[in-house]
Amino acid sequence: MIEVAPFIVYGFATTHDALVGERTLLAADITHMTIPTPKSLGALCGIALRVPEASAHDAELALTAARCGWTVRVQMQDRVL
Amino acid sequence: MREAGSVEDISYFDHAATSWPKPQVVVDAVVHALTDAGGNPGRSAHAIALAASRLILESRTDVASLLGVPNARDIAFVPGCTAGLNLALKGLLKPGDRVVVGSTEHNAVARPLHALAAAGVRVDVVQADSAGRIDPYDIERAVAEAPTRAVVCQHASNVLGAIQPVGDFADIAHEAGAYLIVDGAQGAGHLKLNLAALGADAYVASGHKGLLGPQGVGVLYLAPGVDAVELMQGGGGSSSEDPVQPTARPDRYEAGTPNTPGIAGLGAAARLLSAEGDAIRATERRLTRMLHEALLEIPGLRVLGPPPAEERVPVVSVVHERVDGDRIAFELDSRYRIAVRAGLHCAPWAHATAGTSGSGAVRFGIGYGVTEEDVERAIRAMREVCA
Repeated sequence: MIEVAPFIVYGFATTHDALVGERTLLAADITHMTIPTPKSLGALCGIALRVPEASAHDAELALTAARCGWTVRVQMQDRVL
Repeated sequence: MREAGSVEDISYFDHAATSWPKPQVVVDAVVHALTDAGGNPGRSAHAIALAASRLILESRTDVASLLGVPNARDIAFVPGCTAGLNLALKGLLKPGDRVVVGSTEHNAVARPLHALAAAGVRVDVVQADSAGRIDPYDIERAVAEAPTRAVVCQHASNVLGAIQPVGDFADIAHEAGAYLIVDGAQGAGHLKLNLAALGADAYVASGHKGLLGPQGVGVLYLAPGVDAVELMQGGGGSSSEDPVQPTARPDRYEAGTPNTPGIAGLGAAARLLSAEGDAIRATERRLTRMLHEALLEIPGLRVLGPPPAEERVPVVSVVHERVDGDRIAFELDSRYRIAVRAGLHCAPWAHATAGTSGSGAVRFGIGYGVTEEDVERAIRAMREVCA
């Protein structure tokens, strides 16, 4: 059986905000991936940040401190093939 | 006839039109963008597009830092200063509004205002003195005459070199509930800027003059809360489902694929100016004064703008009583390999202010890379051409 760990996806209004978020998470050494924005998140920019659920609290603290507000926050998990 | 191809021996004095040669870091940044970051920024999340997006973020952040803008979202990259000025003017003014504008404006302001006047905007011009200086009192008096939507002015004249007291203008405009819109084409780079403190509601800069970037990119700063209507709608990679242009900055003002190589080059230039700008500006001031004082000694030559003891941007324009400006420019180029610009410099208002509408002028624009030897060469050549 394959275990899938849930993760959080943060969507942003602009690419600028998304990449400021990426830069913030890099600086804070928080594990993340920069991904195409899932269509289900709605009308956003094309880039989103994916963070393991276990790191989400730290990520949100860092993003908030950097005044980098995300527009949408969604919990997701990978498909099991 | 000189041979084409060799540019090493040119003394280049056309920095007020565009800086050249570009700093090597700018050239390298453009090449890097084209070779290693050639994706379409903001459109995709694959590696090559993200590389382009990151370059633009880096450039926006570094340009904002150079210009004293706390939030880089307030910086929009536009195709040039003219495009940015059109956006600021047409995005903030509507029929029935009134603007107060200085009398030395470049056509990048004068022509949009002419078009706006035809659409019902009232345009009142405040006369500068013959050196191009506008007295803040005259702005204050003009603003008091009737409700005013905006005060519009150059930061510095591209013909006369005069620097306007835009901080005072900002206070006057805000006291009257008006915007201050500044054409910073000749200010940015040549003057140390802190836009947050300056008070301009809109400040537009050319990327390729004093800012030393490539042509084809300009900077539009809109202060927080200044709600200029965008002139173009289109794709930007965000909110694609919406039929309306996004309102979030900077996307609102950047419809269409941006000039990533140009923006990357401008970012590199901004980093250079942040590190070395004070020294570059000190050299520009010293060489400008050296040239100015020497040209004043040439019989028959009138130097436009404020006197040497007064601060000016590195522009020195001259008119000879006998030798036409186009003749001087041609001889400097063909005989001495010195590049200057003759004519009206796209600024007929400034020439009318200086009384040189009929003759035009020969403009020496000093900038990054101009040396004392270049200036000495120009002085010697001018003595001979004007003899």
